Amino acid sequence: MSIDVVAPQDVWGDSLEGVVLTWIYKNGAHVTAGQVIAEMMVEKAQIEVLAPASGRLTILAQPETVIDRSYVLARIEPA
Amino acid sequence: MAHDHGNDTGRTFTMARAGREAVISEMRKHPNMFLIGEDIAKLGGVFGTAIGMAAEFGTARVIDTPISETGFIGIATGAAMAGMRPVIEIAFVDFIGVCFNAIFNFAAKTHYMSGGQFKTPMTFMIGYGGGYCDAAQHSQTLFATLGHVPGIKIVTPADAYDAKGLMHSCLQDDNVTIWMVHKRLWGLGWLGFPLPAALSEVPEHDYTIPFGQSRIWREGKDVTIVGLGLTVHNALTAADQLAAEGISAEVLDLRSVVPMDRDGVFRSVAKTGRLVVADEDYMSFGVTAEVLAVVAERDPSVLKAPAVRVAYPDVPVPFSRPMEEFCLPNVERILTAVRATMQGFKR
Repeated sequence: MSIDVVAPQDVWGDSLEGVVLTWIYKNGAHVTAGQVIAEMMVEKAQIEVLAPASGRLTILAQPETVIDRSYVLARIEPA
Repeated sequence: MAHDHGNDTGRTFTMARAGREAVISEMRKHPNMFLIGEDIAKLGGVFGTAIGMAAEFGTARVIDTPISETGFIGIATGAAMAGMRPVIEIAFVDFIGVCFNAIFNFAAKTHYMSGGQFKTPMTFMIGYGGGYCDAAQHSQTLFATLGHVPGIKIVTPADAYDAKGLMHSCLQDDNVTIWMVHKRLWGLGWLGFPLPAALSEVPEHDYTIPFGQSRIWREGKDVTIVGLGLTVHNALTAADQLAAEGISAEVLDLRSVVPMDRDGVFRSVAKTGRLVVADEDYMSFGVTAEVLAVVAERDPSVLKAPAVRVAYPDVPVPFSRPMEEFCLPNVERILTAVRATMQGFKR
């Protein structure tokens, strides 16, 4: 069963939109729970996205994708 | 060539993250190293250079200062003489003018004037450059202003791999070093999306890149385009277009302003016979002239055409977007310069 990766929930304030900047790991890479896997931006703040689980990363939101707080950025398939 | 360093760890970093990893690693090794500057502890740096560092090292080693570069750079210079290893964050190089006495007369000269008894192991991490309508006091480059004074090493990486390696070299050096990154290259969203070519695979282990060693990003045979920082990426884009016109451009990244890789520049120009230098610093008395001097002093007969400088005109950076765009050493200006060199000498 795969696990959804979403943005951290405590960074949004009154903002409704953010944007994906860059992925640190490539699509299909193995990532470890707690690792920083992507950077995103809300207003002018740079936000780190952490892996919620260990496993194989499938990227769903490419850089420059506009997202909201429930947008599924990626999925992680536990190994 | 841009991404292949033969050490694929699977981590693709922005330049801000790469530089930060080097600082964190060196701070773990050196208890006498500390970071000082404006908005670094609470905010993590205006350009994200210090994100998370106060949490790891505490606010005694990650020090938020008042808005007084004169004060905290003086403090850092004294601390370096007394045996500490300060790292100084200055978001905008434009603000460095108020600390010239500490930098030019003390940081750069104490090792020499004390006969080697005192060293000044301090590293500046500084943002520079324009292209985002921040006007004349927040958009300058100033390589030549700093590079003119003996005793200061200056580097400016063009991708994340070089950012980390050059930062380790700076932090391990026992005298003053300046690590400068063009704002467009940090990888910060509000300054434009990260340039894919500036992102690169970054090994987890520490590594250094020697001062004064240029890097050939693209080999060519008709013309050498020398760039540094963002102009490397403009040169690479220009080289792609030139290839379609049948012109083979070599792109050389200086990486170090001081010391400059004069041998590397001359080797490339001797091969291609043509030289274009692209730099965002002001034209006169600048890096571009220094590169041309290498060829003029060693053997100008290697040139098949006049060398061309693509630098910032000698004017304050305009606020107006079209006026600023007109001044920047962009792809179009590099293309025009290269095409001019292909005409040869007009005798």
